[in-house]
Amino acid sequence: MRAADMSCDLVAGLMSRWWDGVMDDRDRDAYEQHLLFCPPCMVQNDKARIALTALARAAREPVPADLRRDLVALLRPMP
Amino acid sequence: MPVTDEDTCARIGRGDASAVSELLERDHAVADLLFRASSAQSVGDGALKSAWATLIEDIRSGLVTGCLRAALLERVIFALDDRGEFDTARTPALPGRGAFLAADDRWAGWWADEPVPWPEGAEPTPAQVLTVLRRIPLSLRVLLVVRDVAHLPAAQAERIVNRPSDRQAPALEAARDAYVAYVDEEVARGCGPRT
Amino acid sequence: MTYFKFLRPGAVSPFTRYVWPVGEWVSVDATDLCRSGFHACALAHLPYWLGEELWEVELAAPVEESRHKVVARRARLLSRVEAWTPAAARDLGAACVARTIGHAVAELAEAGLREIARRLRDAEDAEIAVAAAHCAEQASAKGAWQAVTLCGYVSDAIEALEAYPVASTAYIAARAADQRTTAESDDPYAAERAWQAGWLATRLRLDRSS
Repeated sequence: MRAADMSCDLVAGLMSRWWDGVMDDRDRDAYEQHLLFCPPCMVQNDKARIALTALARAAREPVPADLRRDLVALLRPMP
Repeated sequence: MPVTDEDTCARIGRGDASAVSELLERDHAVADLLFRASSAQSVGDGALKSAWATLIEDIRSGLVTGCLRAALLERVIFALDDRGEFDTARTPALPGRGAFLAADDRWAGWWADEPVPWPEGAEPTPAQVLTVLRRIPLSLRVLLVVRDVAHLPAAQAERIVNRPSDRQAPALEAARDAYVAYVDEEVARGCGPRT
Repeated sequence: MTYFKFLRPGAVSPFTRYVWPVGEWVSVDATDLCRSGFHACALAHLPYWLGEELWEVELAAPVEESRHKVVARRARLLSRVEAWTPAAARDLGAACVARTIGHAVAELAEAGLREIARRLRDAEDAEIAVAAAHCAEQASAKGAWQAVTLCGYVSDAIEALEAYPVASTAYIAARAADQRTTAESDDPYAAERAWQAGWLATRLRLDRSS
């Protein structure tokens, strides 16, 4: 694939593979070059990157004390 | 040397309370997010606690010897299923990627309506992320949490998401597209501060 | 050997938003260079990665070269290429508009529309958009569809010059070259990018051995 031939529609469909880092070198170059000369796609890619980064960090709930106590209680010698 | 899941299982098998604490610190937040994203609104956290208790018991009995995060998340899903506590509310059809110019345009396939940038520094808060997750169809939101929050490899995710590893990529792609589209709507409503 | 890197304002990577420390070596452990190495440009690669800031970078061996970039596991940002200013970027954009006009003029001439091609070629800056639209109409009446497209790119290039970064205008020129009916090279898109690299080397006085 060449950046010359990539449309925004195609780029939007490749975002997930770009995020996973699984594109081959040539496709990744084409994808990223498209972002540079197509500001709307850069906007969309930035949104995806920020949103998926926030998703990866969304698990923050602290461990409840009662859960810790209950699970430790399960460690008593088994019959 | 990093602690392996096999080491943790062995320690828990010997009754080591600190091993349980370490496992809780590592994996509880992820399990909690999966639970809150997937459960019906009004239920308590019994399924989550049950999943943890089952996991510890299964480690103690030798049924689970590794891949602890996957084992925990699987038990969260099973507990919700057993209790009939899944969020079964209908979700709308998945949003499209946008509007693109038609084939007869010299810029065919390029944006017809350009995406609007977010304000500088805007990013979704954890609460907004949870709200958005719950708008996505249940099977896709589970996949999204398991793969993109818990970072489980496809093979370990299979039983949790009920989807073979070689069929997860297209679904994950659709889930991410929907997630990003809904986050876009949330951020447009009100931006969270960068933390 | 000197390598270069285009960055966003503040020495920020365009895709990952990594903020480069100036003058410090940074390294990655992975050997899968494309996914986790540091990317930079030799001179010929520059037009593919145009951005707001241009920096000289030092790369530690081994340096792997691919079609449009070089990759290394250790890199150090040295200093900005001060000649790459907004004004220089604007001049490159204007040069790319002129190149796009050249491609449209050649396409019109090949379609037998030499008179209107000449008018487009000779149009003053303020008249180019109108002239391009007129040429497109004439070419359309004659069924010279590729010429219609090329004239459209002239309008797009002028619009991009005002509204978008220089990368957009440079791309339109390369796309116009690529869509000529009669190509002067096996890869007209790459040839146009090579012309742009030459422009950058001359204007910015870059080391042509890089």
